[in-house]
Amino acid sequence: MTDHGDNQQGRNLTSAYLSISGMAKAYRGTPALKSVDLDVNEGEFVALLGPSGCGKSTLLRLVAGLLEPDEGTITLADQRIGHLPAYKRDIGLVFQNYALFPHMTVARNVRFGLDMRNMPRAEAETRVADALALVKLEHLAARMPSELSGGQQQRVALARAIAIRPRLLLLDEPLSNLDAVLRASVRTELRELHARTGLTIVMVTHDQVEAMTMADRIAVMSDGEVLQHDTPQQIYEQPASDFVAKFVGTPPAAMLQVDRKIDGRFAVGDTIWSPSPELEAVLAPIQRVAVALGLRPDHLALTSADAPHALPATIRTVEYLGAERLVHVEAGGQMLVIRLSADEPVVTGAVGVAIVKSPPVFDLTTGLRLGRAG
Amino acid sequence: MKLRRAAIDTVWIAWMAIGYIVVLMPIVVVFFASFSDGNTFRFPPSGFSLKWYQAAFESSEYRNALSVSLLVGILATLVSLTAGTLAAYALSRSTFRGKTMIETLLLAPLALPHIVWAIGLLQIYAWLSIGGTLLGLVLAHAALTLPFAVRIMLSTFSQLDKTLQDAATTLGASPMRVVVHIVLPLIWPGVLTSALFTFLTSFNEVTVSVLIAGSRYLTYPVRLYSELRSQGIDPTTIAISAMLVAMIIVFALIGERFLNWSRRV
Amino acid sequence: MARKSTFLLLTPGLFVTGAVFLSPFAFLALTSFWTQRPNSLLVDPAFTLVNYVRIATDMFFLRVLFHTIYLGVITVLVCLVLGLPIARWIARRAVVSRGILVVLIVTPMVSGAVVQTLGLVNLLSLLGVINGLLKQLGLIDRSIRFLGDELGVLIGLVQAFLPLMVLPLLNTMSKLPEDLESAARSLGAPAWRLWMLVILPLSMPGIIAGSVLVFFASVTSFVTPQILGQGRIQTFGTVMYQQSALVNDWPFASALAVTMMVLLGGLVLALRAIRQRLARRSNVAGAV
Ligand SMILES: Nc1ncnc2c1ncn2[C@@H]1O[C@H](COP(=O)(O)OP(=O)(O)O)[C@@H](O)[C@H]1O
Ligand SMILES: [Mg+2]
Repeated sequence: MTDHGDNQQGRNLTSAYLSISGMAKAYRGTPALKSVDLDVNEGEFVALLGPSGCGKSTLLRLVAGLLEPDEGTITLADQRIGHLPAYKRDIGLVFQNYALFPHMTVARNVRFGLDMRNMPRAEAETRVADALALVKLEHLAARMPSELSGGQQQRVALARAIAIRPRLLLLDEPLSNLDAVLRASVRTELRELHARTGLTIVMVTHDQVEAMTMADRIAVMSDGEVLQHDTPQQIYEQPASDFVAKFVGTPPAAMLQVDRKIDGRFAVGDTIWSPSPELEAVLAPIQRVAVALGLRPDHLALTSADAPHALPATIRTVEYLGAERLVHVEAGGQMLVIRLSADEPVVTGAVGVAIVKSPPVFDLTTGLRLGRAG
Repeated sequence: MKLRRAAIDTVWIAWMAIGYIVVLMPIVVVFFASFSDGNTFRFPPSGFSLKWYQAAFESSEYRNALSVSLLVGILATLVSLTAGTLAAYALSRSTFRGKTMIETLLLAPLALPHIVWAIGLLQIYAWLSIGGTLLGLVLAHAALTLPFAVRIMLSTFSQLDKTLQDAATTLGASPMRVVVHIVLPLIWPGVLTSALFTFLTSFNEVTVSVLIAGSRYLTYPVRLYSELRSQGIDPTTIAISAMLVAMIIVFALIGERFLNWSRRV
Repeated sequence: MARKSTFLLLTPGLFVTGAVFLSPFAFLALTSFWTQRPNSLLVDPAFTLVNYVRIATDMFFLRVLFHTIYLGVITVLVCLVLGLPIARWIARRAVVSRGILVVLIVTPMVSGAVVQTLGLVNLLSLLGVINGLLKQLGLIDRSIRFLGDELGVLIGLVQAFLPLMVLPLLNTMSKLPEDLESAARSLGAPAWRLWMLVILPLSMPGIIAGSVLVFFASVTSFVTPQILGQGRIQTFGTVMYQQSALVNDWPFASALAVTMMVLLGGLVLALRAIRQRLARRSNVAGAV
């Protein structure tokens, strides 16, 4: 986090360090990527976040040059690299299964890329030692990959990719094969490594917590498209579409569909509801389109059923989480989640839900957020 | 109860022994006969001598047949190993329409009767006038052994993780260097297995060779066959056969020990 | 991989298989409709069915055909009887000895058909080991004639092809779930019922595969009947060989070869139909 912030300020913002545009790829006629644009700044840590099968690995392999795109261009450091074969791109890639060479020791694995560059032996050895030190594995240099634990293998793969001083480091689901405890510590280690090396990193993950906690910016993907590319905070607070809102956050945002009756009143399911004037302004376009509010727990508060502008609801379950409780309520046939601190009393039966913070509103036909600039 | 169990086991083992005796007796007899001092092996044995081994090393006739077998075996192995490895690589590393059909086609010789094939092949050879030539023999043996090579190499490549090649590529290895540094070191047990298997199959082949071998290129099994058909057994061949079988068994044991043959073939 | 390089890599293999292995079958089909000029090496490339008519009407060839099939069936049965206990033992009981037992059973397969026959001739001859042994034991006083007799050929076929039965059997029997058997046994099923109701039905795929392999190998075999039969036992293989290499009637040899291919092909199709029906039935049974 220390030096890349300065980097970003010093950058010419018109052209990014890595720039992908119009990237499309189909496997035997089935599109896996549909015209993806993505810019990554130098020194940035970007997460590609999306459900399994949405095309994240495909995008990564295209950038690395292991796949040929059907369409689209890739620019790295102001140089078009689309025509370069993968082995001339200087892009490090850490594979999901690590792909360590089973017939070489840890040290030989890490040195492989340097040997391919015909680096003098002494220099290569120093680099290998440095890279192994960076992942704290100096003591295992002579081991074979089969003699390592999963976490150690992953760090060797990382060291191997870093040793070539890549212009870009790509990580494909780096934490998915680790157990939960290890995952938390590797998360921190990867962040530290990023800070220390200043590398530009693109990491693929399907885990939104991972993306939120690690990345400077997140590109949310679905079905071969990038839906939104923004800082974690923006993604969380200003989701560009209902998909993003539902995919990000713990718990994810609940979609509350709101209808308007012929007499002008608002309804949630069968329940008539009079929203606050501010909210009414937001809900103005409702006559033309079907809309939903993306409601996170922090948008909501529990009140009494007859409080002004409250949405009548029924408590269904309460989840106890130690410091807080999650209250699941049903309003007009739809489920919402409200967060209460542990000492707040929970009433039972009929309650009201107050919307205390202006939530994003989504057009249900396009999935896009309404009233968003651009 | 325990006694009954033991009795059943004894009968069972005796029954199995019949099978093993039937299968192994001929080889055992060849071994014993090779040390006989008479002209054939009889029971009870009539004496011990190494004279047939001596005769075997002095006979240039058999040396010729053996070197033809060796030559044909090596050439056929080179052809079918190369063709088989390339084809297996293509089949295991790409997807295209008709892939299963091509695989079936390449493995078909395993299932089709060799005697039928030989009758047709001989007519084609006569037509092309390559009957009885080295080329004809090598091509025939290569065709016969190719499916073994393809099958062993297919299973070898299916165990070779494609991402290893990708990893090497992203680390800067050109396609050629990926093959040299990653693919070859990881597939050599399969290559060796398939080479030895191919060679042995060719070296032992008789059904087809009897029909297509000419007088100039007479392989050792064909010589042995015609001897058995006509003039009767020359004990020298027994000594040679005993040595060959011993060599093959040693090879097989080494292959099993170090390359896990029974799992590969 | 690029389409072009895939194609290039496949070319040598396809050439060898297509040009050398498959084209002779097409050629056979063609020449089987031709005729050989009498006392000449030339053929008459005019379409005719005489070769097939001859096969279908000459009792000699029909007898040879039936005899070949008969030998094949007996060989399969003997191999089953000898092979099942071996496969079962290796699959269930052999732990340390497993590797050595498998190697011993496949040794004849890798050490050459003629060498085996050489040993068999030595064993089975009038003054050979078996007759000598039987005489020593006082079981016979005149030598049994194995060579040139059906019995000798049968022994040779079983010797050569027993491994082809054991390997597929071993393959299926090693995969039989052990707890199924212990369950049957704990319910008090005696050993023979366990075999009839559990082991044999579940080993059916291996039994069928092994039987097909052994049957095919023995009806198409040629070295064993030729040498152990000493010209007195005729099979389809030996007759084909005689018609081609000795009589030089290539078109007729082709017709014999095609006949054999068609019969074997028919058998394969029939077996496939049976297997599909069996599979369907066991699916239905599984669903109930
Ligand atoms: N080699 C391939 N051949 C055919 N389809 C593929 C191939 N690789 C990926 N796909 C398909 O492309 C889509 C995207 O895959 P991928 O990029 O691996 O997704 P992700 O990494 O996001 O899980 C999936 O539907 C997958 O089935
Ligand atoms: Mg993936």
